[in-house]
Amino acid sequence: MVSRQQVPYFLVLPTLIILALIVVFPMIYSLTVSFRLYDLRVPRHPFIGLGNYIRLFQDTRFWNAMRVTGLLLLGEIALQFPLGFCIAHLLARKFYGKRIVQPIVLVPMMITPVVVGYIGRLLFETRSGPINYILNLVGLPSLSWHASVKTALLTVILLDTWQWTPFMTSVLLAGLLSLPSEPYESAKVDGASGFQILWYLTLPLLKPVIALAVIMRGLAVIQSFDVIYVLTLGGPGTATETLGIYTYLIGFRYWDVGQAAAGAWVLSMILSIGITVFLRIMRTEER
Amino acid sequence: MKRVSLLLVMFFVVGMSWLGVSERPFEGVIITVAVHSGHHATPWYREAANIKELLGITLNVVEISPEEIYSRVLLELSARTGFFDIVQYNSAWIGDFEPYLVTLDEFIFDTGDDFAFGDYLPGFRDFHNLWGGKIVSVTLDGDTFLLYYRKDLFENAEERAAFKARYGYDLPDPPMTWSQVLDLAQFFTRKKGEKLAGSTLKKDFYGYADQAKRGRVYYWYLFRYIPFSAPNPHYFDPNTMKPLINSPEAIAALENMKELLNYSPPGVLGWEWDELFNAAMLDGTVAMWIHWPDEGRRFSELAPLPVETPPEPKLGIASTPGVVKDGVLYKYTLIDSAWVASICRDSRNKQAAWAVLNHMFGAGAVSLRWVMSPESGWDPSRYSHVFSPLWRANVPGIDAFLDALVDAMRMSFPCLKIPGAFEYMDKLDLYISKYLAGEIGTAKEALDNVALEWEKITERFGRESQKKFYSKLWQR
Repeated sequence: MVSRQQVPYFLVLPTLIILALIVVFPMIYSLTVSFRLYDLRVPRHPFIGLGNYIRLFQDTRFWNAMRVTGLLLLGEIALQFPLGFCIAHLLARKFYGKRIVQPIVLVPMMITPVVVGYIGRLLFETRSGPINYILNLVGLPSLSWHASVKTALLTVILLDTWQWTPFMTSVLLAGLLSLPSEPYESAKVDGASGFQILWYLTLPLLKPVIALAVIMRGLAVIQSFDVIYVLTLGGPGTATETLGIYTYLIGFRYWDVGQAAAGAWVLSMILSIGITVFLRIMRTEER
Repeated sequence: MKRVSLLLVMFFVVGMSWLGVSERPFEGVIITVAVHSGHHATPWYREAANIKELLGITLNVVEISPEEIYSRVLLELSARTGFFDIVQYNSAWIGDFEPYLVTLDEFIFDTGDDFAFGDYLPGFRDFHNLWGGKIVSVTLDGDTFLLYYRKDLFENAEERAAFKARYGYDLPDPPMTWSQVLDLAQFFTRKKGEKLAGSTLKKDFYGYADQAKRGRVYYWYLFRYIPFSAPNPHYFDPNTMKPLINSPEAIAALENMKELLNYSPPGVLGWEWDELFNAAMLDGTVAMWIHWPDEGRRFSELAPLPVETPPEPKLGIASTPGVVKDGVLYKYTLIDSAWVASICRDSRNKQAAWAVLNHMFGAGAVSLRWVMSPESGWDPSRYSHVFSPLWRANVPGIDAFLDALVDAMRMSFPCLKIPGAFEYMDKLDLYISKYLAGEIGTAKEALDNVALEWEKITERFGRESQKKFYSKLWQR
């Protein structure tokens, strides 16, 4: 018979088993793969210790992918956060037609990234794309956008910003609407300016939500794949080759699954460290 | 008497039904086929009922997305589950799939070549189906590359005279060498407002365009590398497996590619299939380009020249340009690896599987119907396709494409098909992309890097093993 004390353990057991099967097992398996010379085409997969990690760190393409991913992360957060915050601030107010505008703002986020990639190829096409058409209308020259080393990453950032700013907006809007009204009323009585209210009241109160939005977006940016795959496949050259694209090519085109697993683990370590540091900073500032 | 009559009737019914079974030699057999999802799967589904009726075989079609087909099929084959009887795969993977497939020679001999294997166009027969001198697959899709050009422009008397006056030789129709392509590209590249074919241009017009986006730009380099490396082009030295990709000829080929960018539309480094097709065929602003057979089949969609009074649009189709060395013209057509089908070694019903392949891809009405149909996306691969009076009668004007295809097959050259083929080509693609984009200064530096990477891959797979695979690619 199961004792009364053992019942809770039995109740959580199915969840634990499912989690172990779909989360823990693949993680442990991929970790073991990262220590093997695991080529899909070769029947034997010998243990090589840190060999895959050493090869990874010796590969200049890996470091280039790290740099590209870092630039993409900085560029996207730097654009999407302020834009998302401004739009959220506007949507937090009452205005005529808000019920129509609000869902329209969220539409890009609902489009499949692969489709966004194809839309990007049409929008940024050098000769016939509407972006260059508008530039020409205002007297500016056409740019080669994703076809040029100089502007390819910027093109990805702009396209992602178009698609994912609504995500920032929706998260920050939810945060803004949940803020208490009393501090704002007190601030107004004390004669605080709009900027002072924003800087000393809204942003500090919104910090946990900002942290959540930035972390979630940051995670997604670091794993960027679909849009780049369709738009540039990491090119021209390696100008837009992110860690996601690099790992994909190694694992699913070169079939070097061992090195790809090592890349994925390095990526997850970077993510874990990044998130921990970011949360620490936020908590320290809260104190 | 009644009993005897009844017994006779019963014997007759049973006997007839038995005869019926013998007409369907594989009654009750299930054949499982791994196919590329989407349009490639359509013919399999549509023929399933006919196969059931004629052969008694139930077809189990397993669609796999093109990204997954390699890994999923290879995992299944290497685990020796016997799940698939027939697999559809890219012929570039033969080096990896070979241990798990059966050769088809005996099936062909046993059935008196009912399949008409010799009817395949030589390029496909030699570089899709043969491996180590044995027949390992049948071609589904006769994918290759052709040169397309604006014949309406090339035939214009005014342009022909101006070309001769400037370059000192007759405007070549079709262009035969890469050097001619360079002259023609330079000659036809003009700005909006200038004259073209005696009329004013409404848009900028460009002499030439490649599909130069990272990922498949290596093909457009190989179109040059192969003839530039004539008379005996190779990817590797067959005796040592040392890469030849950074030879002086290879460097000259890459320089030609970069030089032609001067006469290509801006943004061409971001162009994939759609962009090239749209610019050349639907916008009509490119004079020459190399592409798969799609344009040849869709010749009637060619847009008029972007001038005020354009001539009737006319698409020129020819084999890809070559190189003249010591007075000899060397031209080659690159045979795209494309899709083939084979019978799996662990299939429990190999004879039935062959009967299915014979039905689908043997010479005859079924194969012709699916090649002619735009639904399948399969290109012609047999003499009986390209010389089909039915096709030529049904589609007036298709002759130019079909004749060009036959001509192009006279001198074909294979894609690389040894283990790691994609990796070799992707490294080539990467450094070509870097060079064209200006990330690397010289063609030599780019190709030296490729050679270095190729050496690493060869070492990883084993030089001797790769040498054996490479020699199988050429065995007839």
